[in-house]
Amino acid sequence: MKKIILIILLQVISANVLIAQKLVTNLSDLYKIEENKIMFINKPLSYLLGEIQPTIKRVIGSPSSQNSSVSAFLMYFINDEEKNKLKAKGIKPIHLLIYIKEDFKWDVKDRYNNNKWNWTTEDLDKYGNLTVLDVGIIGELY
Amino acid sequence: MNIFSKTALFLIIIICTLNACRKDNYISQEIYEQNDGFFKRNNSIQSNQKRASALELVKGPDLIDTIINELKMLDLEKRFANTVVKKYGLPKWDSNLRIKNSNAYSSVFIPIVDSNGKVDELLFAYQDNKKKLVYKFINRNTKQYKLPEHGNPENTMFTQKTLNGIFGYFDGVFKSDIANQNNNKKSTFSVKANDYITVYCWYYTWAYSDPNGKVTVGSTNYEQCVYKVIITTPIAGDIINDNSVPPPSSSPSDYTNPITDPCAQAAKNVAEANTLVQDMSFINAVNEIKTAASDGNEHTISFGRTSDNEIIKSIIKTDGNIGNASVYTGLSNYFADIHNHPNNAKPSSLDLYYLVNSHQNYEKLNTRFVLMGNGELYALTITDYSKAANFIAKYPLEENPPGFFDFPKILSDEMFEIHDDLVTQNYSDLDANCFALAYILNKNNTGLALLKYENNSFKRQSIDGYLNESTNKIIYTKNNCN
Repeated sequence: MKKIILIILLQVISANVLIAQKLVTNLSDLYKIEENKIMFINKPLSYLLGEIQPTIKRVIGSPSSQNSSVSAFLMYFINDEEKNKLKAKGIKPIHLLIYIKEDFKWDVKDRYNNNKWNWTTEDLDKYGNLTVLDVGIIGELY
Repeated sequence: MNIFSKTALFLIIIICTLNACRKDNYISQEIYEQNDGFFKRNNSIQSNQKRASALELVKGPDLIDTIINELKMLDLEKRFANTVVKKYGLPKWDSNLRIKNSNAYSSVFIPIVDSNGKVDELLFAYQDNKKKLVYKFINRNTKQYKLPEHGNPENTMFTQKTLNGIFGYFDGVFKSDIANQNNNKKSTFSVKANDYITVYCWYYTWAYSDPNGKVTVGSTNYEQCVYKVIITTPIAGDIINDNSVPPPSSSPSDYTNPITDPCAQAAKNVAEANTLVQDMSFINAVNEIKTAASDGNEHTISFGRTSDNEIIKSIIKTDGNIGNASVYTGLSNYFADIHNHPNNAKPSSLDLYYLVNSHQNYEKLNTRFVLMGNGELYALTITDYSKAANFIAKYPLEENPPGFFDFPKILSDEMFEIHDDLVTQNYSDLDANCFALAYILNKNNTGLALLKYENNSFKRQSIDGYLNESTNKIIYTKNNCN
């Protein structure tokens, strides 16, 4: 009996570990997002971001009312300085391009003036319910 | 012939061939002789005194000997010195103009002076770090497109006007020295083909030039900036001290810049647009569209020509589509059209793909005018159809995201990012979007240009982006054609 309980306990623990395991644990896993994007389309942005472990250190919001196109987020895993340095070397650092269904408010100047480059918990509260239309991986591993 | 004779004959042929090869190698090594005059220093106290009094110089360690030694080595490989002497004269090493760059190292301009005391070529040596120097020959008549035309009052840019000012400075230095310039010997040595090229461009504080061409020498109290940009197109006449550069296809003595003038590329289209915009048919079309635009839809009018070359316009078309309004194409010699963007959206990807694709059926069609809700007038125009066709073949219209047709993700992504950068630099959304589009068009050599009607004429839109190494920000500067 003890053995059975132990086995069940181990199974529960391992199942929980598997559930807690995110789809993307490092940058090279990012391509899994594109491969499995059907999982994320028409789902909330928060669901997609919940599958990504690396920290989003630089985010560009591009609402349709500002970009003459479709709303989108560009999410980088390096800070602005690192991104610009790589860009100047001709390297486009790997990042997510996430198309969003809704228009949203995004004050670039406010974020710039207050050095708010990264994706914050406030952002997640504010934009997490937006709907993902498509997601792509742009750039290269650095 | 027996087997022995055959073997002996075979060996003789082999030995002769090897000897011939050896001789060829010997000849090829001998054929280039370095021009000693190019590398000879001639300390001119007079010139140095003039320089010191004319400009505020930054004192630093003397690099001239180092530069000469490096170029001597480089010349053995690249073989540029004879060509430079033949075409432009001799370097006046000790009449150099030296300035400090943001790395706290030196940048040195060395004039190449011909027998008449004229300086049409400069050797620029940029000290990238303590041990690395990068070289470039700069021709007076080769426009440096990567340099902004004008500077800014903050003295944070090295501009085309600044470069002109440096040439002007050397003109003054050597004007009175002509009598001493009679010992120039023109070289008759042959020239090797691959003696050119640079992949660097540099920008740093030195002077402020206003749009009238007045150059003010900058004080070293200003923060110095350095921008380096990799130029992917080789420039004949330049050299660089690395071996990564492919040989040029141009003739050995051809020093003309193979980069065609981006303004000249669009000049014909600009002229045509400027003519059309003054035509009554166009003025009436704009008024019709402005009136119709009150319904919030897009409206289109196309333009053609009669057999007498008279410009005619079509009826106005309104189908309620936004972003993909249909066009009346039944006019003879249909060559342009105009439609409105009620929401001040930039000329779209659909406008662009329609233009290039339709050119196949209407060979005179080369321009689409877009009238913004705020009254601004833009034009997308084909400057080189084959390049435009290649561009849309390489980057075809994509359903991206589903239900929305646009540029491929890689291009949209870049435009979103440039838009973001430009808005932080106080560009309006419309300007930021338009310049982002212009940047993509120019960078990808698309054979397409974005024009904007400003101050009574169309101007090709263009920006250049550089890394400000002191702030690690990408800085964009307008480089519109006048």
